[in-house]
Amino acid sequence: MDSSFFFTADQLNAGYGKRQVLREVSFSLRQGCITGLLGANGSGKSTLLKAICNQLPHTGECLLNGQRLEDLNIRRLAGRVSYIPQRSGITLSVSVLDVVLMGFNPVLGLFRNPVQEQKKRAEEALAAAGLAGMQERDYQTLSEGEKQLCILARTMVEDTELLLLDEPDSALDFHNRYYVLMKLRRLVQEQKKTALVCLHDPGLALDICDQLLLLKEGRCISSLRPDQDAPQVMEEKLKQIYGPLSLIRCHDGQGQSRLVLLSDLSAF
Amino acid sequence: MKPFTVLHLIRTGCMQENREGRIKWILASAFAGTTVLFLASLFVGKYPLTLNQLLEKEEQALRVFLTLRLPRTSMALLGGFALGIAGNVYQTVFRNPLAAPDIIGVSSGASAGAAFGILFLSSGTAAVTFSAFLGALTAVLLTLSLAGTGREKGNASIVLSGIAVHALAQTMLMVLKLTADPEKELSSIEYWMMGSLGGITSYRMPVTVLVCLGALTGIFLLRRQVLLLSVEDEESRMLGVDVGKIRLMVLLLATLLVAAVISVTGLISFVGLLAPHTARLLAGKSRSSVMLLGGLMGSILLITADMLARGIAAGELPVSIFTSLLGAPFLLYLMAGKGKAYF
Amino acid sequence: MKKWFSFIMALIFACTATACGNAPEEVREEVSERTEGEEEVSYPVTVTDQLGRQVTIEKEPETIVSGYYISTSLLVALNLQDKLTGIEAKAESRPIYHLSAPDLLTLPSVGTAKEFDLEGCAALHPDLVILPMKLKGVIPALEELELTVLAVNPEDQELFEEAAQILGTAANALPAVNKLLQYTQEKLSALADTLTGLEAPSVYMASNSSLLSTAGPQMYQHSLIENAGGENVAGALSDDYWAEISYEQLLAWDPAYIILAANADYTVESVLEDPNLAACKAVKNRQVYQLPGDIDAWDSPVPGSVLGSMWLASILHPGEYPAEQWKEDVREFYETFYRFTPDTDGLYAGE
Repeated sequence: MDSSFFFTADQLNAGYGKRQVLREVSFSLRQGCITGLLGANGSGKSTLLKAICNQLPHTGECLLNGQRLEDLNIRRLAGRVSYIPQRSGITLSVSVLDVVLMGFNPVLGLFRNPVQEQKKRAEEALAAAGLAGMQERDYQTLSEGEKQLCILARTMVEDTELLLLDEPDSALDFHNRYYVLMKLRRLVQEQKKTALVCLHDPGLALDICDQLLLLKEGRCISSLRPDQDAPQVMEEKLKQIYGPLSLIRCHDGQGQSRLVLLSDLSAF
Repeated sequence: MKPFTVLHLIRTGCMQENREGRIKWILASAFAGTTVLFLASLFVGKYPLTLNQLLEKEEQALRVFLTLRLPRTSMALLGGFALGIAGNVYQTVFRNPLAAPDIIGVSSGASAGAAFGILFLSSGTAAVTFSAFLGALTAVLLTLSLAGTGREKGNASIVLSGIAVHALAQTMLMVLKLTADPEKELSSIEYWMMGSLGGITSYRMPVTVLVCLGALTGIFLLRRQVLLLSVEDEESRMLGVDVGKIRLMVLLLATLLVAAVISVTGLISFVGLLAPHTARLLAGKSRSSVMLLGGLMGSILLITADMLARGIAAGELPVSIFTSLLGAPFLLYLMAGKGKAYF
Repeated sequence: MKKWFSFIMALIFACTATACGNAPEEVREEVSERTEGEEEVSYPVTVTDQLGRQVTIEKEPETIVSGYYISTSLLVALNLQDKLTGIEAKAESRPIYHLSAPDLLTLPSVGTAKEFDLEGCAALHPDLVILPMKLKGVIPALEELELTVLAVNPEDQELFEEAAQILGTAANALPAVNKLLQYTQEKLSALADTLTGLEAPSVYMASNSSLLSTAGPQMYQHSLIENAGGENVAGALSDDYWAEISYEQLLAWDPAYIILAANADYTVESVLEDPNLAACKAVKNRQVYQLPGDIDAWDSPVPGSVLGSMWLASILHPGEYPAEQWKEDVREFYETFYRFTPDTDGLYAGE
């Protein structure tokens, strides 16, 4: 196996009760890269993330820098892998700073509280996420985009090697999708993180991700690299999931090369 | 009227602009209010007690003060605080603004235990206290172990088992009431369920105080974990919280707290539900300072209710009448002031 | 985690142990040391109350608080009402106080058996506090306040006599106690003599709360029926308290008499008109009566409770013990012990 891969999933099988959802999924991720996970609804994207972070019984193994994740206890796992749900389940009024400070839990003793230095780091993370000065705001009063940014700040202070994000784009508007994911991209690149992100919007995925994994009926059918692969090749692969479409390389207003995904209207 | 002065001060505090400062201000005034009420409450009662008598070390006055008045008032302080804190814990852990101690069967277990004690042990208060305490713990342990056997191991299954255990305890209570002498034991059971601090003496304090302080310390130390439990199970597990164990621990501590209080006082309605809400309405965010404020609000409510219970009529009145009577309008007043969803 | 769990368990056990340590001592079946014959009490005197506690009374009590109506009524019968400075709650519901000692009604209340007012009691500074056994939980606190407390448990005739001896000794009223007990004994044995050899008719005694709730053999009401020369149809029940029964059971027993408790909240008429009971012997023969409650609660062990037995005897055996005789006995009892002449004309529901 290529030693440049930081995370490897090997032959993952998982399901709910008798219904098998994931079938022998194997893939590898590099450090400093964002990998997008694409697939239709019900193709097993969320299940895969849950299996990796050991919230779901599964066979096969996940190796993070040589360490089997299945062997870690809850605290140690939380120290190495962070998981960001579609929407955070925070239902109480709680200050933004307290939400971010939750990220220190794996490194704090059961009875310990964050020290001043950690509070400073939390504030820095908030600033990096673009929420400077919001630390005393009530989390419940934030917009959906701000909530995702707040959770992203929490992920920053968790400082884990592997980040798993479940459709961070689902509740966000056009602007915020790019805003949040570009922040994530910068974080991954600057701090050499490894990120696996389920995404709804393939167009966004092509823009943001270094690598894409295509999931269909619980199997990882192929992978592609938007910056290297030929558009025709990628188009064929994406068709397997999204049906008739065309992928076009073009230049945006700033002269940057971009990929645009167009659905084949005649197919409907 | 003192409570309304305090209330007004607190409302004025809400108008302050700076949030951090505002919370500190509210906490300080709640603390001051609790202290004032506590001191006032020391001099309300059937036995005519004045500060002078105490300073002159008048023997009988001192005795009444030390064996009756001080323990009773301290129990109102501690009991209200404990119920307020426990209410906050239940509401946070179950992510349910209506969660009260009974959600996992504490109060119905205690009632059944007390009824059992009244009927079969002895009408002596220590036996009833012990039996109520045991009843509460049994009910909660039953709830938690039932929830642990189910396939779904989460809040929903705890709440469901709580409902089942609650129903079971109610049935037991009914059977016990059926066998009770309607003129003597039955009325004792009914009276127990309305709660009273009238029977608190220095003898009954030490165990309760010990258990309460122990459980309060535990909850205080675990306050960060309580907050983490308010997040959905999966998410908090990925933040490194061993949800099952921590939840069990926190719930047991809160239960110990409630059981220790109501086993000596009888059921006290509304404080556990109301105090945390009041605190949240006043201070806004759910953090440790709100938990503390909830405790103080509980103390204020219970001390005031007990002063009325012992002072308003020739006889003693059940304290739950006043906790509800005072608490409900207070909550409405605060909600009207805020006029928005706040939980 | 394990550590924590054991910590919590340890806490629970600690509480358990302490709570057990606090449990009140068991009631001892021990008769108090009586000083028969010696009628004048010399203080300090030590008596054993009905909880088995040894209590020393330093001097003759001048002020007494009584937290139970039977002990209050007994003190009135012993002519000690002027020493009472506080009595149980709901005193106004006891007709005997209105009739014999209306001043009692103005005294402060020290609460009920459910809720004793410790501070209110302390505020009265009584020399002696008399409590029912139910209130034993408050005794340690009262002792801490250096009050002298006696617990009584007059649940049946025997226990009542014992309680009377204890209070007589404590309050220096033994002559009055002996007179009262002697009167009761004489009346009971006279009644027994009158009724010997007579057939005992079947009697059903209904409770205050419901017609279908009756007194089993352990209850005071059972001995009332036996004293009156009747047979309790519920005598075979195993319940030691009021037992709930059905109409069918009542019809199966088919009692010759149905007696309603003094404070029943339903009436003789309602029983006579109850279509379910139309076939019952007592209803057919219109032998349904209510124990008069206008003077005293004769169906509980009050000082004058023997009059309850005598009343029932006059219902069951009017030939041997006529109503007029009973009225005479009632007048004599209350004139002797409660210093008033009761109006007995309205009392007799049997006419």
